[in-house]
Amino acid sequence: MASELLKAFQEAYRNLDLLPLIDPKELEKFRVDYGAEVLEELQQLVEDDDSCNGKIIFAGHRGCGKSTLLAEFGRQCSDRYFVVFFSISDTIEMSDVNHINILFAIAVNLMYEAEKHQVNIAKSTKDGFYKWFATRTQIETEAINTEVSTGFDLLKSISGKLKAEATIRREIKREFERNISDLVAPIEQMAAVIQAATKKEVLVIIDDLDKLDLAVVKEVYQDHIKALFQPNFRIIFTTPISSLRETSLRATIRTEANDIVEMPVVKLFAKGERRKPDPIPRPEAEKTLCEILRKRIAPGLMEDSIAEQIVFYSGGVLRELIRITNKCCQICSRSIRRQPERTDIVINQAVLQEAIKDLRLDFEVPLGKVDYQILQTTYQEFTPDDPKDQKFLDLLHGLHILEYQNDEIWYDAHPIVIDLLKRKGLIHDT
Amino acid sequence: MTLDVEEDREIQNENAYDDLVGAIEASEGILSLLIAVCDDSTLRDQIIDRYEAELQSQMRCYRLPIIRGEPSLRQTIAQAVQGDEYLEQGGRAVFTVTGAEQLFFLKLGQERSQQEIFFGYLQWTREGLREFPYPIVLWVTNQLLKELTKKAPDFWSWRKGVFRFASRKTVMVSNTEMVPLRSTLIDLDITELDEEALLPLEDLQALIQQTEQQRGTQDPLLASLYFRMGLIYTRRLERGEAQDYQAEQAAAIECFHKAADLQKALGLEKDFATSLNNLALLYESQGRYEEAEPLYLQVLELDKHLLGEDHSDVATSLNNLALLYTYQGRYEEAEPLHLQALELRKRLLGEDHFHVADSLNNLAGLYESQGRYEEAEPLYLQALELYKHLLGEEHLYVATNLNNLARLYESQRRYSEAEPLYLQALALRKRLLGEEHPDVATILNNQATLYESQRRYSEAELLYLQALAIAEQLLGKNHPNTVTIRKNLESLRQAIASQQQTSTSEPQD
Repeated sequence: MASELLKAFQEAYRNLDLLPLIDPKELEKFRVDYGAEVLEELQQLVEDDDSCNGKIIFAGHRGCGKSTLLAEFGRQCSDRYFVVFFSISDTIEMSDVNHINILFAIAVNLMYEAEKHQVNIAKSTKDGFYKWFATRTQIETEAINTEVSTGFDLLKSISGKLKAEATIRREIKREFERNISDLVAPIEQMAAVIQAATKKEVLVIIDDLDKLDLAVVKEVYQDHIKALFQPNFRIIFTTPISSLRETSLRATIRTEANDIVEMPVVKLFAKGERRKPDPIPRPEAEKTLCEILRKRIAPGLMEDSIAEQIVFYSGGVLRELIRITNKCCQICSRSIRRQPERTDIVINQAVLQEAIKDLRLDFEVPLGKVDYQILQTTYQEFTPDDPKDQKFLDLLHGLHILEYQNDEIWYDAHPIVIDLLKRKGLIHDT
Repeated sequence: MTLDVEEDREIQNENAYDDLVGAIEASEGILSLLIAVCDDSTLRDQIIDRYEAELQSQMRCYRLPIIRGEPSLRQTIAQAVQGDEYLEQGGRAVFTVTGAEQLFFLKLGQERSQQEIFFGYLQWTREGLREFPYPIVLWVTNQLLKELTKKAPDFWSWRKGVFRFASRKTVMVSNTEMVPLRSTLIDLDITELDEEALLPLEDLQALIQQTEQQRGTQDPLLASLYFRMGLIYTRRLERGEAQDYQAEQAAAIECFHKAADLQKALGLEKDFATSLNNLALLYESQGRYEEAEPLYLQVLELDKHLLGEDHSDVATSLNNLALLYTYQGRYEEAEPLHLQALELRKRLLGEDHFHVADSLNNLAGLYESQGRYEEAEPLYLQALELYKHLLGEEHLYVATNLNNLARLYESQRRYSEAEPLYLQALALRKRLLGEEHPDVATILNNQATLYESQRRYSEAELLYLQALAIAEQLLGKNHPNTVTIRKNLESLRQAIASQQQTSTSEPQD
């Protein structure tokens, strides 16, 4: 039988899940207010947009809480807007994303959300839309005619097809490539019908576009941004932070989008503070991050001041915060399994150090000689020699280097990477 | 420099094991992506057996190999889940996914390699995997882990844990009966062979005959004609174009002999050295090592004398001599020569040069022969990267390198990593040389020894037979490689026979 203590650690392990908080039940349980400024900024932009068709680009580091925050934002807006929040990966096979199927995914998810909220749409109108979908995705129309209430099923099978069948995606691309308006027109009609029925304006939020390869991102945003932004309603697009470090891409996005919102890593320390012998974190940032832990791990499983240290090692990245704590739970569970009679096992200094050692190995895996040089320079100068160097962008992408901003943008190595650099003798305590 | 004190392997593995089991147990009702790292497939299988035995009272254990045709983690799991009554009723389970290390990383004429497809899918599986609320243990090798972090960064960032299992220190494989074969490829620098400037073989033969008749066999012009013809024969041997392998080998030797004699008489010292070198390479490919050695020594002396010590040709001579010593088992003599060659090449040609890759590859081969496996691997990998980068994937050097690396893994008992390398090397050589070439036989033989080590006897026998048929036909019955293959086949058959004897006379309980 598993002891109570083991059960407690197992529950913490489950609670320390890395996936974004999207499910309402999870949100309820684990939600911590963070990123208030970012939420406000988004709110402001959406509400101040008199044109009602503003396009916002939302960027941030991997694992800094973008998806959770966007889901939260969607919920906040849902009483005033008809919010369509979806992950591009739930509709399209990610290796084959392009501007056309992003638009097509918007159409599918508009109708999906309408079905979910049982928006009152005239049967003939609905039929018309579904017939349009069915023809485009080569689904037998008879199946629809026989049972119209199967809107959900139809949309699901369309999603399935878009994910699984490359030929359908090619066909859609071929059909609309030359005349994008043929695709945008029905999308706008759907939005109009929904707005009319719900009396709410449509707000589409597309998550996980930031997971695309940089090359794909470039193609989508650089070459087809006008098409992508054509639908006349509000849309928030996500993009990887590294794409905004590409001068020409950034310029294109700047010109076309109404605004770019960047979600910074939680800035735990003022620039340079971390280099001091006893760095003092910014209290409000530390408090937020500790709060996240408290929601997920029972009190008493952790010694005093360990939470603060985990926060320190996370570099302000939420997912890494969770990961470190999760590893600590694994180590404690191991001890309990070996010594079931002990009841005093908690996450202490030794456990934390073992967890950090493990994660240090993970960070070390992809690094080569040139990477170490870049890390060294970034640590010393708070900026690399060349912020446009692909190797640097990759390190940024892989969280080895974190970007912080207040009045200026500055960079620092991830705290665990700093640890690694010290061990390798590449940097020294000042 | 402070480095982590290396923990005892056993302790490390036990910790990793307990953490892995703990993570599986704690993952009730949620998706947990657990990455287990192990290079030794035997050890890996033992670990899987162990945790499955320990967990089976709590949950059902599914073991799934990645499908080479559709290498998608999601697909692999979806197939297992679909229509499974136990799972549909919400039963607890753990999925163990193996075989990723066996995916091909070469494209082999396709748009993307199997490995690229696998990582491509993996990058986006997090969302797709959400519907599977189970712990999923993906087994990879250290090398694959590195690729994974780079090519599927998003998947990597969703990992719930990495569990590292260190391989046992390997012992030298003592099965002297099963000797893997070296390549017979003649390492001539055929880049100097200008296609357009070459007369067809028949025309050149006619021209030589004419010149000999009209101007005698000592005519200076003949030196370059013989030399050219020697090159053509050699190139035909290398590219698998020879009609009769042994006859053309002999013809090439005769040509270079004649060329060398004339060049010497005419005082063309540099050309003379080149002919001697080519002769030595040919002798070596015939297994006539004793005859090759004095020639290489002579070439080295000539090069040093003519070009000075600091010349890339000197590096080539050092390299060739070192290779010969390696073949002969004179390892202590070979190492300093290889190191000198490598140093010279890096200095004179730059790090990014395929001759540097050659040296790395050859040095790795030497270390491997000495059982210095840990030193050999990074060198082979560096060489492979350089070749792919400089020559492209579709190149014989890439195939040779894969073969070497596979042999190394085999020596380290990393069987499941070795197999796909042999398969890719074989596919490349068949594409580039055709089905019937001594180097195709070499890989077949090597692959057979791998299967033999894995006790896959019937597959091994089939491959030995194929290899032997090719070798006998192209190299002759008495070529060292042919003899080796025949011996390997015989010892395999003995092993099969003794196994059958044990199983019939002493039934196991």
